[in-house]
Amino acid sequence: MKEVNKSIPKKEGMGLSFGKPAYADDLAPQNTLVVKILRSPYAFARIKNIDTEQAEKLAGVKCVLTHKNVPRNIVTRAGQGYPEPSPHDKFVLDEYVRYIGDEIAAIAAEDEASAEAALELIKVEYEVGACTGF
Amino acid sequence: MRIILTINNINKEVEIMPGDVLYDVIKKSGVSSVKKSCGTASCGVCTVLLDGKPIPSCSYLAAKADGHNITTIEGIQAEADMVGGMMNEEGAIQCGFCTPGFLLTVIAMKRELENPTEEEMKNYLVGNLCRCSGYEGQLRAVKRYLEVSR
Repeated sequence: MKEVNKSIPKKEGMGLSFGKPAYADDLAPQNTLVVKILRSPYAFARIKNIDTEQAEKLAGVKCVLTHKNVPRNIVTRAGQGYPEPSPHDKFVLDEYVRYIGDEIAAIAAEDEASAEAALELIKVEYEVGACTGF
Repeated sequence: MRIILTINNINKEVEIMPGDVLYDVIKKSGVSSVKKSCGTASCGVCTVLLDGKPIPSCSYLAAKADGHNITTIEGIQAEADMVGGMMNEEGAIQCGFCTPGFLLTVIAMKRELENPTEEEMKNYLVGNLCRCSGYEGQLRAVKRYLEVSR
């Protein structure tokens, strides 16, 4: 009981205070690619067509993923436990988007500016569906 | 374009794009303590001292920092050591993401204000958000620090 009712300073507290490398961004190697996500502007829509040709051609762009070229695996957005008890109810990328901000495409590029520029070059045709308000 | 500034008393001459923010320059110079979160000058994790005044480096154009002195926590570690230790003892550091920026603002406050009231402390520190600690631990640490170092 000798530790009860006593403050114990956090072991990594001083390192964190003075900004020693601790977070993913601190530890990322210099040549790490930057990933940016293209997101849906609609609450509900089907992607009729998605054209990534121009984005892929842009210098610095290494990879463009859409629902057409990722495996159709279901995933969960939770992830606290193992085995994971939360519902696996989401495809990595899907032909349908179900909220404003839902993922449409992922781009990996050598730097942030190229990734951002490539996002602009993806052409998406949507079939916008009716959205029920609650 | 080229700018000249000092980061923690070391002269730097860096090539920047006109739209680069000060955070980019600091990060590229190898400083790990300065973080970026909101990118809109709202949260304070990117705080650095520009000629001694705390500013949000994520929203400060690098070009404007030409000719100025930038200080990060690495540059005033000795001065901030005591208050950092007190923060740690008071349970004011959890994930630690906001702590370097917070400490810089505390040091700037100590240099600028003489015997601040609790209200003045809160006002001075209002720009440094902490989503873990609930602020009470930080406030206890800052009060103790100002008391002891007076």
